[in-house]
Amino acid sequence: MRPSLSPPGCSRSPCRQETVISRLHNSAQGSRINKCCLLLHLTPLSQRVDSPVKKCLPLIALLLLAFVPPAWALDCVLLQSSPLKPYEEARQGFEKAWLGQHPASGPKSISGNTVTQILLSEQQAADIFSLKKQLHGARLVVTIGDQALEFAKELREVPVVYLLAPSAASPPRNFIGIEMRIQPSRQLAAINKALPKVRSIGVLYNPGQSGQWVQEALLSPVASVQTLLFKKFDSQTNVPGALQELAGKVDAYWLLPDPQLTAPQVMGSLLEFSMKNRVPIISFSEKYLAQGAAVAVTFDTVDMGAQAAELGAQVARDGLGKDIPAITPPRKVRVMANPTVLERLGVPFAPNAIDANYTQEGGR
Amino acid sequence: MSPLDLHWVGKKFWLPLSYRLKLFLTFLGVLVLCGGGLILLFGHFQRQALQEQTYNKGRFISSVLARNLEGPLFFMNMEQISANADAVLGATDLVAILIYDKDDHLIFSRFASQGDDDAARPEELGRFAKIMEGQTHTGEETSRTQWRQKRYFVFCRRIITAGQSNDQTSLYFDTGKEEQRSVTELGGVQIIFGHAQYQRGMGKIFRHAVLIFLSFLPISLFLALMLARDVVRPLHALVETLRTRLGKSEEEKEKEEETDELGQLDRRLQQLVGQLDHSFSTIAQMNEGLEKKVADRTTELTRTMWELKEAQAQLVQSEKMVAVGQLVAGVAHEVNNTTNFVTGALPPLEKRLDELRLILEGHGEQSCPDSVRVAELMQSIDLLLGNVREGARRTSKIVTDLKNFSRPDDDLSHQLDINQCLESTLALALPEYRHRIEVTRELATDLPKVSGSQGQICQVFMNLIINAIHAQPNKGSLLIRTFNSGDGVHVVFKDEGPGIPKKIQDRIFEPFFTTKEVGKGTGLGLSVSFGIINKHRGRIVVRSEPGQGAEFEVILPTEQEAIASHHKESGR
Repeated sequence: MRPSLSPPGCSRSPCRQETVISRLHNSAQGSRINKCCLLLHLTPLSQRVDSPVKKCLPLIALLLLAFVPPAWALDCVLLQSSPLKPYEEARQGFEKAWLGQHPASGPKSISGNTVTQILLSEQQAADIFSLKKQLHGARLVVTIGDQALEFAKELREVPVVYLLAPSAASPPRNFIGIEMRIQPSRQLAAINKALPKVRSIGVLYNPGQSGQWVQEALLSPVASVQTLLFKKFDSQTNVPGALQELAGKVDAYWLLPDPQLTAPQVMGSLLEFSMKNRVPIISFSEKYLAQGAAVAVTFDTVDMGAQAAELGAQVARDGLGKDIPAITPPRKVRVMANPTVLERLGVPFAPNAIDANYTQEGGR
Repeated sequence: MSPLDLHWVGKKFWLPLSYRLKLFLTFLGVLVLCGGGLILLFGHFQRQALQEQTYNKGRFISSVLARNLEGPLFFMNMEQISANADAVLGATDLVAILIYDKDDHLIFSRFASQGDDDAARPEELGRFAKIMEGQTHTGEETSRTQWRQKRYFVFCRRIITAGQSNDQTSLYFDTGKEEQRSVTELGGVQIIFGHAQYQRGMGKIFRHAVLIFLSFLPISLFLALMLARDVVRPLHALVETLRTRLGKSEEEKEKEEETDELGQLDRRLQQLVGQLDHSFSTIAQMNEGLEKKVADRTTELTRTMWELKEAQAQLVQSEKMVAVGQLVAGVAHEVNNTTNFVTGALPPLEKRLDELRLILEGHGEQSCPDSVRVAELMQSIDLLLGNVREGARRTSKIVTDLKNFSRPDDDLSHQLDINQCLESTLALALPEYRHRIEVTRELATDLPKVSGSQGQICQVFMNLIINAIHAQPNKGSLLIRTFNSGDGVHVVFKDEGPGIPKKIQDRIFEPFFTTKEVGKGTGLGLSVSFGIINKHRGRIVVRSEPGQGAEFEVILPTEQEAIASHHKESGR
């Protein structure tokens, strides 16, 4: 359940700007206030007090609250590119985590953190100027998606946290973000858990696109138990030949996030290769499970939202310091599998290492 | 008559059924035409459907083949290309599959093993390549259908492939919209159907249509027969009814049987119409005669009515005249008796005076002291006696005239002296108006006697004289002229009054018609006069010009026989 001030069913207004206030009982801050309010709930004692004194107890409690030093709540503007499902999941994760963050300063606060949500794809052209003005006046801006990041790129004074932006490349210094790439070692570890029988993994890569990643993979500590067989390709037409070289040598094929490899005709070749050689395709996104990939090792969008909330709260409290890296990898790896494909390919897998199975209706 | 006589058979069975036959043939023709039209329409739609089906099949196969060849053509995997072509060729009735590269160079061709060998000839391949060259819509998946010399259906499809996505987001997520990818043209596929297959399909449709038509034909025959029978049956009954009512002879029956029912009906109706025309003409003639009869009767009734009125008027007048006549006769008798005393006493008185004169003359002058005086007295007495004698004579004449005028005499056989009648009438009428009316008499002396009633003739003369006097209220004149001509005695009364307008001259003899003021005239004078003269077979002629007086001329015949015959006719 998403906390919102908007009425139920109206969460997707044409021009969505919503402010969410945290609930006291959900936050640690609320628990501190509850300590103050314990006086109000000492009913066994109060029952022994005379009735005039009993009537004055709430007033006394309020007087005590007046002596508590003020604590400012966190507030930010969440700029979301579009209502895509991963974006929505990330937003939900962010909101939930953001509202649970500590106040910006001071020991106590009676006001909750707020999030002003803006759905960029539903903004009218006439509202762009006021929106930018609003972003300039914000204490923190969080962007979800490439379009939102592009829109907020002009901000220089306001700290910006971005996530789910695959096009992000060398952003300004006031921008910090969570990348979408998972370190090869973590992926290999997840693959090892999910597909324990796989020992040899083939990879086609374009040096210009994935050369660095290959280097990291080669240095991965898990590589010792897994054999990575890399094949370079220069153009898409070379893919069938490269795949032909991998045939019979690999137990699985690792699909890298390379647009050349995800082109329809190349994907067709990969899938044909997978089918003919009984080699499962391990993709970087669950999107390809629907096309025939067997396993997807990817990030958890909800957790990525929560990670962004924590990152944002840290920036809001402490500012952009040197101890905060410009790019942070996703902290949680999510493994999804297409059991049908795995079964038909005859590849054993460990169900307990699979976070979710792909289904036709629920697939992203 | 032998049943084998063909003429008899024809008349018995063929001719009476001829109209039914015509009707049957008409219905059959209409049904066959409708059925044929429907079958042609059905065939047309079937042909269109077959053509559309062929087009759809061609488009579908070319589309699927182009899709399947996308990968193999991208990687130039001829093995897969061949496998795809073989798969399609084996499953369809295609003649050939031709695959071109992006420059429209033929890179692969596969022909059906039992297809048309002509398609593989170089010139045909050249034509197919030209067709493919027309498909140069790079980046668009278009297909085009070609009809090649009525022998082939050629379907072309460009083979294109999407390049890598420009959207990084779509690399990770399904964005739900068409990814923006660069499009690369790989070549084209061309599939060729033989027209023979299409012709076979059309032939099948034609055979089915003919089969349906042949199936429809007996149904049409039956329907036409039933319709003809149902239509002719009431017609035949009508003809029979008319034949029974009109009742023709055997010869006419045979003559009619040579035509069909419609001809017979026409003949019967013509007869019926003829009879109706005859009946209507008879009715019209009867109507016309009836009208004439009614008109004649009306005229006769009118005349009878007029005569009745005239008779009534004459009766009234006669009664009045009878009463006046009786009165006048009584008065005349009494006056005559009184006059007789005078006239009877005059001779002895004159005799006594003569004796007295002789006495006186005998005594001389000595015996009469005053003889002069005596002579004067005697002279005076003679004068007075003369006056008395004249007065008595006049009185006797008046009485005689009154008797003559008032004599109730319907006997028309008396011989009348018209001049005497005129004088008698003038003597009665004129004294009152003598001072203002100058009467001129031009009476012929050689008038013959006229047969008739003196009283009635005098009454006529009196009416005419009184009318002339009344037409001249001041001084005036009256010319009375009599003369004899060949046609009878003419009596003319001419006055110098205002005359009679032309428009009423025809009505002056009608009973009760008068121009006088109310109470001064009965309107019966002239009508009674007309009736009297008419009774005497005479006539009254009126001549008048406005302002120039009026002239009445009474013409009375002189022949006794004529009057007698008139009486006989009137008595009928």
